[in-house]
Amino acid sequence: MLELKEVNVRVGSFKVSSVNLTVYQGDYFVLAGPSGAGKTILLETIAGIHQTTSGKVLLKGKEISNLPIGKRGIGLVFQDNTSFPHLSVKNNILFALKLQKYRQDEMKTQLQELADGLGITHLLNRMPSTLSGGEVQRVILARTLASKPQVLLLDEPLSSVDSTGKDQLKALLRNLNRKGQTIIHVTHDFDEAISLATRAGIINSGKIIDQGSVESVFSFPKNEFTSRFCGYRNFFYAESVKDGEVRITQQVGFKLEDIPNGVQKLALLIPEECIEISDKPFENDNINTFKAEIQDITRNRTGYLAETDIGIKLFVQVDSSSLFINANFSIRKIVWLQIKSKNIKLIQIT
Amino acid sequence: MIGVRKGKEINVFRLLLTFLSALVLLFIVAPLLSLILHTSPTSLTETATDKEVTASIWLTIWTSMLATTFLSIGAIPLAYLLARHNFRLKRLVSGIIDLPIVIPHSAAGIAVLSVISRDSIAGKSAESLGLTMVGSPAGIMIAMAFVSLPFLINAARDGFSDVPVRLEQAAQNLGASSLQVFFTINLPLAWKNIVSGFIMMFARGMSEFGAVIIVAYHPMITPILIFERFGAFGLKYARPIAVLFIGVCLVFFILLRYLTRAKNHHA
Repeated sequence: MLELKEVNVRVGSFKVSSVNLTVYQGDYFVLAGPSGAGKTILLETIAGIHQTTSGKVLLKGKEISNLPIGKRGIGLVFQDNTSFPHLSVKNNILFALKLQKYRQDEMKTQLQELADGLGITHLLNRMPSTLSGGEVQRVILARTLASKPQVLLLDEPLSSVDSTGKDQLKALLRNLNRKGQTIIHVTHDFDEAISLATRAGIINSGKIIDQGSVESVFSFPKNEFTSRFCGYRNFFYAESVKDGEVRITQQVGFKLEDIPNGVQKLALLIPEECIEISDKPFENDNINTFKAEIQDITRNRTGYLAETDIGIKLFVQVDSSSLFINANFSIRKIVWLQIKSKNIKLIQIT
Repeated sequence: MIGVRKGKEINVFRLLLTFLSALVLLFIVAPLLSLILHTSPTSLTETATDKEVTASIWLTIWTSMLATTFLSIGAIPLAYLLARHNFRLKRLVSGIIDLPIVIPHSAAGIAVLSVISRDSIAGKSAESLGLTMVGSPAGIMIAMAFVSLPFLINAARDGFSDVPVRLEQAAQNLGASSLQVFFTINLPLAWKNIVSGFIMMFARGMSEFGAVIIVAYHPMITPILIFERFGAFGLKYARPIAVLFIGVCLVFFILLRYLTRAKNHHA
């Protein structure tokens, strides 16, 4: 188990502050956040490239914050290509194996196992400069695994890999984790995060703003940033709660079925595909019904995304098969929107 | 129409460029060519068998080679330090390293002499060990190294600077010590620059005249021998040695160009 306790790091003018993070044995922990959030610095601090200004890094209860880079039991795959350009693929892997002081015959078996496991046996005699992005990542992964790290740190490992290579590498990483390898994977890509993580954390502006199971972090984002990261555009902090209605502003509020008692800080998440849109007022009832103006329309994979104004900005997904797509579906048109209470996610902010 | 005019302008400009470049090239080639053309093959073979000449050429080669080898033991770590570490007065240190290039070489010779002469502390302590430096191969090597060292340090420093720090960190992460990283990552990756710096320093040492003549007129290195033959017997007698020595220097120079080209090709 890897623990960060109140870790502070300063690199140049950038600060990572008061980080508390727990990664359990066997976790595939995805640390997600935008560029410049401090993801890389945090990984490099765990690996020992940057020193903490305060706080502790513990591995299986033992403090490793003061150990040198190579003595921490942490393997780091950098975002940049760090294959050694003057060594063949085979010698890149042997570089790490030799440092483990294996016997000659053990070294051979280890090399073969790693090469087989990562599917690079056919590349062993090639030089790194002749490999594709995905192949290079496999080689570096093999080399890093050769040092038998207790925790494997991956810094945006798929960023320089093409889409077919990505799927293969994801499968490989998942498999590695299933075999028991603890992994911390840093990314700014939500699809990557959701497809690999068993647990996740969100970092923004040098602070961990959320961490926990994939469900708790990604299905119920606790802040605007996480919600945006997960692809939800309609995330609103509640201003007040009164008579079964959660008010976002003085003018705009949503009626919800059960609002827990005594909770003060709330946020609402409205999936854009759960909003009904019509060019006439709705006849049935008028709960959570709004008159809106379309302000922008963007084409996307399943149809169109309309940006509307109901007093707050609300995004609405309109499928290409929708009957609504007619002459009235254009910018500055007035439309009516309806949201069923059961489709509104209520998030308690702790 | 504009296109044609524009095309013509470019042609005139290119003509001017070619003409000026040819002039500069002629400026370099003409004296060397004239030197070779004025030297008869017989005088060249005679000189090549002259014991004084061959001894002098060997002396020049081995003193410069040894000076370069000795100094590289300290110069390569210094270059690494300059490439990788920031410290106070780093700019000053870099400036000091370039100093031998900009000062007159006779002045450099005087400076070296004042440190190694029999009256100095270094000279005295060497003497007590039975070593004479002034007028000896040791003195020649010191004078040669003094003026040629910047070439090796600067080339090696550039080589080390080009090695990404990330590669060092990756190697350390795999468990390599700083010393192992230096020998397995930095040195092999900067190797071509170091070798080309080594040859540059060696070639520069071989061709040194000003500093060496002040520290050691005897034993005579070839640049001094050429000067002496010219003074005593005139142009005709100095020429064949000059041609022969230029030939020797060219071999190393071509080797250097070949190495740097190989490096660029690799990159």
